[in-house]
Amino acid sequence: MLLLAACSTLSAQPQQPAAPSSPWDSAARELVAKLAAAGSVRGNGTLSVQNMGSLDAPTAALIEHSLLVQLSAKGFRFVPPVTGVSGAPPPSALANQPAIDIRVTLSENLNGLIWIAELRTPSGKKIVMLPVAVPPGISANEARPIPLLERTVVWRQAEPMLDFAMVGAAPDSAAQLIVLTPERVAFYNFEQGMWRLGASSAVEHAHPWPRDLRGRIEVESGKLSVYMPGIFCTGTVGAQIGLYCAPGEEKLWPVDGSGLVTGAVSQGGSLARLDPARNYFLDPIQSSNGGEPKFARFYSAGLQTAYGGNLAILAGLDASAQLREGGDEIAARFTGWGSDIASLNDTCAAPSPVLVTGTGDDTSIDTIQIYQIADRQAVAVGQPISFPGPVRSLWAASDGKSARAVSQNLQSGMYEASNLSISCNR
Amino acid sequence: MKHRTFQFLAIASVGCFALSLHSARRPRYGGMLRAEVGAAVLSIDPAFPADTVDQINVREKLLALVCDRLVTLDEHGQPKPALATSWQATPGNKLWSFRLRSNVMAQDGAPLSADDIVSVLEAANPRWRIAAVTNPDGSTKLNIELPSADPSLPVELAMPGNFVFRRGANGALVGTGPFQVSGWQAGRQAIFTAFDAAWQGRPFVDSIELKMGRAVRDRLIDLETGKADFVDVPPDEARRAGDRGARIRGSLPDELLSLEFARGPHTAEDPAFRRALALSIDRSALVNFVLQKQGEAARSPVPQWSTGTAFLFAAGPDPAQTKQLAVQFQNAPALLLGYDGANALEKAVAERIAVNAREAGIRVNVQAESGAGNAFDARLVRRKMISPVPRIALTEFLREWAPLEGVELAALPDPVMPEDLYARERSAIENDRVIPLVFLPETFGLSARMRDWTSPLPASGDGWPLAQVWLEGEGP
Repeated sequence: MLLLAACSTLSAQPQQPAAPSSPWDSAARELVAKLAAAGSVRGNGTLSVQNMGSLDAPTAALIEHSLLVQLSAKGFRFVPPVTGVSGAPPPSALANQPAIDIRVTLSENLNGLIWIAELRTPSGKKIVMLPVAVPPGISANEARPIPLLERTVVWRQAEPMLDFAMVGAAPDSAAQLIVLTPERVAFYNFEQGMWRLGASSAVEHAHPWPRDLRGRIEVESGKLSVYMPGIFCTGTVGAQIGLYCAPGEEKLWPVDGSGLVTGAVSQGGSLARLDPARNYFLDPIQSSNGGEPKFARFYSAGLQTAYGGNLAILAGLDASAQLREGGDEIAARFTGWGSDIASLNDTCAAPSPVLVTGTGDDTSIDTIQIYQIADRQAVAVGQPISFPGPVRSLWAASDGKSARAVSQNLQSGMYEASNLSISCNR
Repeated sequence: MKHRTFQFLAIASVGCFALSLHSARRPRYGGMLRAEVGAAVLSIDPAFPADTVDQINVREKLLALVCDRLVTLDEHGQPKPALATSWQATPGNKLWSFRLRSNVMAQDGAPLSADDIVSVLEAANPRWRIAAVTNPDGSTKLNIELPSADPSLPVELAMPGNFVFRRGANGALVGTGPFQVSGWQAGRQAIFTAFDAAWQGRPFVDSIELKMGRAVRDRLIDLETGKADFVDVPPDEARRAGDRGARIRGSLPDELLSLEFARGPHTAEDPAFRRALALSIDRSALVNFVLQKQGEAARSPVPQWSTGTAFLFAAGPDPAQTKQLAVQFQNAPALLLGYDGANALEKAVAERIAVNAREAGIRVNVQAESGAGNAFDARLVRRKMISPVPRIALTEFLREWAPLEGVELAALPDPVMPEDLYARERSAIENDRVIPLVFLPETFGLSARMRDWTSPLPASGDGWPLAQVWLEGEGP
């Protein structure tokens, strides 16, 4: 049970206590109005707020404050409850107990928040209820980035999100956010301080999507490329938005951000074929002794330059990553890695950094850890950043300086698009 | 934090999509998932009679592997598209129109047709008038005309009674779901294989081998020895199994175990007697000792997670008031309390109630039900919520309790204000003809190699999420 001790000072103030506006004020005002309609709240009384839901304690305290402000406006004067050593009011205090006892429970049901207020007065008990929508912009249990790797959430939505791309940067009015979902590409323009949907284009597909659907967006010089299993779309961004999809067109996907290096991953290139009915890439590996080509199956890849050649790191299907230095030889294996990796350019914080997701599954929170590859060894650098749910996709940006991640918040269910960058100054 | 604006009247969703996207450890394809359950299901066909609550429950879960519905429910009980991609109602909510998803393949290799859907829904809902109409753009919609207004029709179409299928040449069910039945030995064993052309995407596992009618002890041994990946576990066994190292997962509770009094010339017809008995029951002890903390004390018909108001119902036993009431029944004949003799949990609960009653000075004899002929004063009854939406769940409970009350209870308005729902819950149990005892969850044992298990929303008709799970160590 929360009791707002500090609020006793409010009771000394006339009617409207000065308080900063809270996003919960509107709901608090509505609940108090219902309460006042059920019975008088004018006079001395106690208020207690019990948080039975998933709101965090600071939010519950904020709501309690909002309620007290609204009650004060109705003539309610908060009196702190008098308690004895045992917690119960001492006998001498019973006679002076205030006539109004308001108990508010911040509960949740199937639909979301429901606030329930019990008004106890000498004339009886009244109960009022208010389903409450969470105010825009409020989110619980936000993951906070820690030094080295920084996460900036740029977009949230309830609809599943596969990938996103930013053209320009807000608050530039020409900035554009492009979001890929299983069924469409949505184009958002930055207007009046927020992203507004400008247009969307359906991604038609005749065949069912695989369950672990993957997709990728690339924007290069105003040209938009959208990769989906068995479908490739091209289009334009900016003022003239357009999208054309070619179902059935087998297009090799860029699996790394370091430019579109022609050729298969195992040959130092950055292109690979996604199995359209599965969730992994198939990459032909030419046998060094001229035998039949084999296939590497991997979920993601990162490319790095070393020893005058290219290194390919492939996140395999067996919860480990392979380091390939060309050909079919595996130079090293890194265990305990997740399915998605992204290789970035050198930074002062970590030469040749590789971002790696954690090893949890759909039901757990996730992490992204920076690794540095040196002497065929992977060394964790700094602390991982945590996400409040699984990271659904991770791709390096085309400039190799940052990465973009789509994750799902297990608390809210929302999909979150984040830019990831490595800070050098902490 | 949950955030949802409930819009029963809304013309529904186009943007939602059933697909769930995967994660850090991406799922692997392949492998056979070995499942074992206690119920012996004789047929997956809903037209085939099932005897027990457990049989009906498991059959619905199996149907959900094989068949789809027009609409399913999201985690907040809101309708979301499945075989129907959007829907709308005309003013008055008597005439509804559902736009059908195109290119949905059935497990016999032919597309699902609108006529298939019409015939199965008409059979399940004989009072509806259903017609398939082709739109100018070539898509198909289903027009449903109801005998009376129903603002929540999409939610009701998500219930298990509305699975869509057609019948093959041999009368067998042909669905569009992620698995197809490839072997069936009634009451003993079934094989389900992945349906590659499933519109929601092929499942990750190649097949499911289901053993039915397995004793709980055998199921748990198979789980512990790596012979099973998924077993159902009675709630009262779950804690012990967990203590022995089994990986146990539970749902939100969606089954009400209550004491129901028949109408008749018994001591129990005296409201004061029922009140005294209700006050004597220590529900916390039932949850902590009998259920081994797998469940919740029930003092309302519908649980807290669904209504948000269950906490308002009175708490705890009241020894002083109980004894005050019970003193007048010291010489009354003992109450005969019946329970399902095949259910160890019910037996333990019945015996505990008798102990509580005796401490209060009320005599209760417990006896297993053995077919017809028993004249019980009261029975332990398990009732599943038929929907996570509290209005629908409570409406069904009220319908089932109407014979006990002796009156047909008025329908709840739709949409219903939370205050009205709370008031109706309270009035449903205020005369103690039904005494809620505990809410039971579904509990499962999972093998260590099973990944991505997430408990579905209870009572949503979604079944077990076996199309979403994958097996560690399997795959190409």
